[in-house]
Amino acid sequence: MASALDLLPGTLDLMVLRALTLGEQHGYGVAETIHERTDGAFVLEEAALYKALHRLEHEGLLEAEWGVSENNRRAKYYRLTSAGRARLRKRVSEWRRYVAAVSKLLEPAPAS
Amino acid sequence: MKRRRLFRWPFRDRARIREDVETEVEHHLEVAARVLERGGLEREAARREARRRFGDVKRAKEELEAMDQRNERWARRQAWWGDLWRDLRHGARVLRRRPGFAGLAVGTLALGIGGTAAIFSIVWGLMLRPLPYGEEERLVAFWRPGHWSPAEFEVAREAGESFSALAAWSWDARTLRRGEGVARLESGVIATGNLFELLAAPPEMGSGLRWEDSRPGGEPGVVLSDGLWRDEFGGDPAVLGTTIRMSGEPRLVVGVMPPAFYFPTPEARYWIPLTLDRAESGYSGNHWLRIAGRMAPGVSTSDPGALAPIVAALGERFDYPPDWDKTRDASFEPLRQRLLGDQRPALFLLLGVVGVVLLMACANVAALLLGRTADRRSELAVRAAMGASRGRLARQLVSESVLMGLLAGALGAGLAAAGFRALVARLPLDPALVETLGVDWPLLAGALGLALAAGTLIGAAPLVGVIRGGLRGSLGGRRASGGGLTRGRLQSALVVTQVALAVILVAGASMLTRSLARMRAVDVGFEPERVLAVDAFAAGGDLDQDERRRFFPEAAERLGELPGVISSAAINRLPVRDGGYTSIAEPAERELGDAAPTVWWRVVTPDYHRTMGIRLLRGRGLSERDRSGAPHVAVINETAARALWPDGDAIGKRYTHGIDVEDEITVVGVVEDVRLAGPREPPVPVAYRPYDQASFVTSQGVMVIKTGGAVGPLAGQARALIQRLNPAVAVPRMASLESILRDSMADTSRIATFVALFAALALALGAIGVYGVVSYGVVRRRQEFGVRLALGSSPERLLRSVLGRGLILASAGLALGLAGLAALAGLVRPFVHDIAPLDPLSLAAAAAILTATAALASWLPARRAATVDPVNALRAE
Repeated sequence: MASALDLLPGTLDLMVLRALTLGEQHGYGVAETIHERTDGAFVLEEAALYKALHRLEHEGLLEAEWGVSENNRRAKYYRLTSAGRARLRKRVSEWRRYVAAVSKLLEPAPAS
Repeated sequence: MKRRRLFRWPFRDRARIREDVETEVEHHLEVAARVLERGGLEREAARREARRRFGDVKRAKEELEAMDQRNERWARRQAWWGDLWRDLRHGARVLRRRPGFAGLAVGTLALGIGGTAAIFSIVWGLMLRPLPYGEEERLVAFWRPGHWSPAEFEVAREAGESFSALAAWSWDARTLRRGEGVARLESGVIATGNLFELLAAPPEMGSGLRWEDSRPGGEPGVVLSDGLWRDEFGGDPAVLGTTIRMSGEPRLVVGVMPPAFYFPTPEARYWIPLTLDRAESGYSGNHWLRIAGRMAPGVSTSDPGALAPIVAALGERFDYPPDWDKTRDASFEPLRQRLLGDQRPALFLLLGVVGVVLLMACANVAALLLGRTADRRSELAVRAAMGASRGRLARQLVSESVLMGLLAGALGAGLAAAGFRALVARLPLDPALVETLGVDWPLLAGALGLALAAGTLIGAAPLVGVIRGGLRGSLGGRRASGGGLTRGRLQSALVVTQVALAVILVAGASMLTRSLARMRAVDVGFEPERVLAVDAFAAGGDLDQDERRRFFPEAAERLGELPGVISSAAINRLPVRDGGYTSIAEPAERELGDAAPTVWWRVVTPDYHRTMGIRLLRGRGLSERDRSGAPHVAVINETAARALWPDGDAIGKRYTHGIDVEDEITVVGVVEDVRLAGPREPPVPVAYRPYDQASFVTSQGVMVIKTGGAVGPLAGQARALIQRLNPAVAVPRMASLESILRDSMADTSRIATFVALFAALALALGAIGVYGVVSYGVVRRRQEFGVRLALGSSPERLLRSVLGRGLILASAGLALGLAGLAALAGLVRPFVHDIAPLDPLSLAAAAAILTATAALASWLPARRAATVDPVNALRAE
């Protein structure tokens, strides 16, 4: 496995929102989803993940509810709000344009 | 689309946030450890690895906690404002549903707030705002009664080591004439040259006056007020150092004062130096000065011992008769008190009146809210059951009173701003002083805040009981009778208070009205109808004694030739309006000593009594034959005749008068009494003397003109005629005798109008209060009435019992109000004359008015009680 990547600023929010499109999850679930779907490409500090979750909840992009987890313990479940969904759409399209632009720049210069 | 959440996540406290963060993070670590364990790690190692991957667990927890707390606070604030907005809109809907009642509540509250703010602005401006002098709290005024002679002042000045400076001053009036223009009369002050130094008030321009100006031979200068400088000299700085003509004498303009300066009131528009000349005849004989002083550093303004050296020096130097002994009762008071003290009684009374109305308005709002809470018990109970906190419920209810307070505050502020000028013009206050005032906005904001706070408290007090106790039973639809009773009692207490306050105002108003009626009914002794009084001021520098002696009678005679004039005359001082000269008179045939009466002194032309409609009782009137050189004669009034010759006829008797010539004067006639000092004061002894024989003729003279037609059109002709006769003579004012008489009662009449207006308002509020509480009682006891009627009780009996309840409330209020009145009577006393301070008739009238109002207000609901249909009433519950 190649050495893990550091996160670019702002991408954590994007990843959290995306992870929650799969349905209601608790914090560990979100971390796991990100890990799995990125093939463990990133070093994800879990403390930062929780801070992001709390912040997004306060901003109204997520809402949280206490529920009972698979191991029968009290756990906090997060889900996307409609505002969160809208934000995700916006951020995804921004991200695509960003990546496309940067990629274009990085491509080997065409022989002239 | 935005979805509204039906239930808000309940707000979390600190401990709860900590617990939540703890649970969430620990849950994560546990799951992570379990997964690692499943992957083959040993249990302890798995837990360590989970924590390592998480990062700094302790710090993360702290940060999450802090973040959540911040967010929580923010959300709480958001919710609070959102709820407030909803509550206010709700409150507005509720108020709109009862526009009449709400309008009355808001209207009275607005009157109370606006009135209190306006009056407080005046109180602040007149009583509390510092005078425009440096360290004004160290300035004092010397004692009364009696004024000071220049000699006394100089003795006091030499002995006054407790004072860093003493100045003597007096009011002054002088004509100002520019070129050949018309002379105008100005009021000002004549004072020792150190006045401005004493006041620590330097002029805006120029050097001002100096102590040297008061020495004999000093420069006759004048300092102008900012107002006079602008009005008369167009604000031109070049006037400084020029000479102007005042009362016919040249005066050098040596200064202009700043706009904010006044002394003693803004009416004074110039200051000229007083000359202390030992060689002058009045130096020790004329007592006409007031003394102001500045306490020396280190001497307390409340130390009466500071006067001891002055008193000792006065006693050593002067031989005082007992009535004028300045060595007794020596004292001083703060200058501020002396200058502004006259305004105090009126201000305190006005403040009391608007304060009472504000209180009543608050009680009214509270009663209104009280009525509303009872109607909403089930609504409140539902909300409480759904988890609304008590504070939240209370706030919802209080927001209505806050809304009313805000409305009333805005309205009151508008009223105060718009009506301030009109209000102060109608108050019995010195117009020149009031001129300088305006609405004090910070003060108004303060009053508004206070009213809001009061409204909120009053609104909240009755709610506490409702929220704490009364809700549980309310859901089922049946009213909890305990809560109802509490409400009844509270409402009764409010109504009793309202009635008590109304009693105070109504009794005050009836006392003032009665006093005014008595004053109006007084026979002043002259006939003021169709008489015009024209003031003329012939200054000493323009007309000397002999010229004045001729001028006033001649002016009167010429005025008599105007078309429509029946008769005309001149007098040195008008009755009622003008004070006058008095001194001791003694019959020629015996010494009265200390028993000699003080007799007022008037100088008149022969037609004076006829023009004024004062009847001659015995002897003859003055005539053209009573000239200089002829025997000295006088006409005296009845009171003087009785005082000088209690046992016999005064005609032909002779007397001497301190202020008059040294010769004996023969009484040739006795006229009826006149209320010389105004309708409030009893008649005083008066001697009338002809112009040709009087010891001196003052600058001031008043021409009285009796006309067959209207007085108004005559005024212009009169002024023109006098100024044609001599352009140096000023005509400062003209007025009909009737208006002068009215003005003499203006203070009482203005106060009476003001109090009567507010008393009517208070009465209406009181009536509404009684009506509200009695009709609520009737509604509550409907069932009981039904049963009683069904059991054979007569409707009249029910009617009587309900009526009785209203009257009991009214009597309680009445008793409380009368007790309060006894405590407050002092406020009205300065404006009440000729009747006892607690005039029984006025009190009885107030009691009767209140009882009748309460009876009427109770009768309407009582009739409803008597006409209850027993069947319906019993079915209703």
